[in-house]
Amino acid sequence: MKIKLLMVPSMILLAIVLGIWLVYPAYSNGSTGVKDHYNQLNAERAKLASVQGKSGNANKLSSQLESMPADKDTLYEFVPVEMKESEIIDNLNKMAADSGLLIYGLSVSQPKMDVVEAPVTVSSTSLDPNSPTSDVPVATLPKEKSFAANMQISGSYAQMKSFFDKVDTFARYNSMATMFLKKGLSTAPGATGTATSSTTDTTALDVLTANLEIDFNVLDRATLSDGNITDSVFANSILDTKVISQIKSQYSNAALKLDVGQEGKANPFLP
Amino acid sequence: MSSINLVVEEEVQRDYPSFLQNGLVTASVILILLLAVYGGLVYTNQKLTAEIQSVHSQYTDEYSKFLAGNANDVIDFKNRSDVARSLIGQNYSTKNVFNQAESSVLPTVYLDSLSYNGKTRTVELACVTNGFNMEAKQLLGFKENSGFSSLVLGKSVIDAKTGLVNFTVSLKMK
Repeated sequence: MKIKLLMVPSMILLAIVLGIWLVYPAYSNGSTGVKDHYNQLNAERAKLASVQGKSGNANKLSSQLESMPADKDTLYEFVPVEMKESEIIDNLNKMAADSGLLIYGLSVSQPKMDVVEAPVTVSSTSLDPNSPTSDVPVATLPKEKSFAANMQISGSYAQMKSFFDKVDTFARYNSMATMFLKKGLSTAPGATGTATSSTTDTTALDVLTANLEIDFNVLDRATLSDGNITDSVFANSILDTKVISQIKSQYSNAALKLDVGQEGKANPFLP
Repeated sequence: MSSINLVVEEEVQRDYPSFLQNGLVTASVILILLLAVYGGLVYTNQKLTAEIQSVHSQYTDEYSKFLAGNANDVIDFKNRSDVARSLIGQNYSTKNVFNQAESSVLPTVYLDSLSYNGKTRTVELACVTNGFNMEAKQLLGFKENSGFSSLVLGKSVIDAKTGLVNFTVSLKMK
């Protein structure tokens, strides 16, 4: 009788203990409960929907890119993947010659070395399925590297202006890093023609000598990685191509394409 | 002789109070329900775990396809456009340098040299003129030119050979 009397409170106590130690943790324990798994499932579904959306947009954007090869070429000529120093030399030489300038020297240096920076890390925002919550280094998009073309030219003021106009509108981006114009002819070694003596009395003449350092750029190809997969470009299905119109209107002096021509020679030391 | 009562007393069948009966039933029901809920939770948890695995697997496939697909061309185009836009924005035409020089040099002054630094956007001019009065006028001319934001005067000397005043001036382009 006494045992039976104790049964009810014992069962209630057992129910409470079971509820606290077994049932509630099965519902929510912060990591493996039903509620936690449900949240995790929703998060996984959201990630899947996000990557599917980006993938769909990427396909549309890629189709748009393929449908405008000329515009794409304009951009890739403006900021190319490779240095194309031969084209720079050829084009600057042509622009100087068209302006009636005399060229004393023309060389192209190598791009400046990048400063090695510690990789930036990001946590929890990562979409990488292999390490969704761990810290991962963010591969940022490549930045442009500049290199200089050095040029020594001489000619009249009007010829110089004509040349600078051509360089300003050259279809490959460039900027005048330094420019030094001096009255008179150059005394630089290798100078040809009448420019052999030191600056003669040319003050009355309209002859200028210029030393130029023109900066060009090169930009490595960007590749998709965990660091840039969340880029805003994949949020839309239409590419922003306004900059191409801007390039076309401001930089209309199309770059010449260089052709090697005939190659090979029996005696490379003969002129 | 003492009498011994051998009559077996009929055992009284006592009923439990009704609240005790009800309590037992209720407690049993609660226990059974709790166990049922626990079972349900364990089952749901297993289903959810399997579904998470399935969705995660789909996501991994999609992610790999996305990384290996034509999205690389898109991100490269976008990055190149951004860089081009930024370069155009910071570009400064050399035509402006000549325009400003042409519009501010006085007829009685000529330039011996012109040096331009694109990074600092400064122009250094070596000017020649026939007197300090003209030099002063030229400096005022530069100052009044809205294309220059600042002026720093350098050396100013008379050339013994020609008797002309040579002076340098550093101008900051706007």
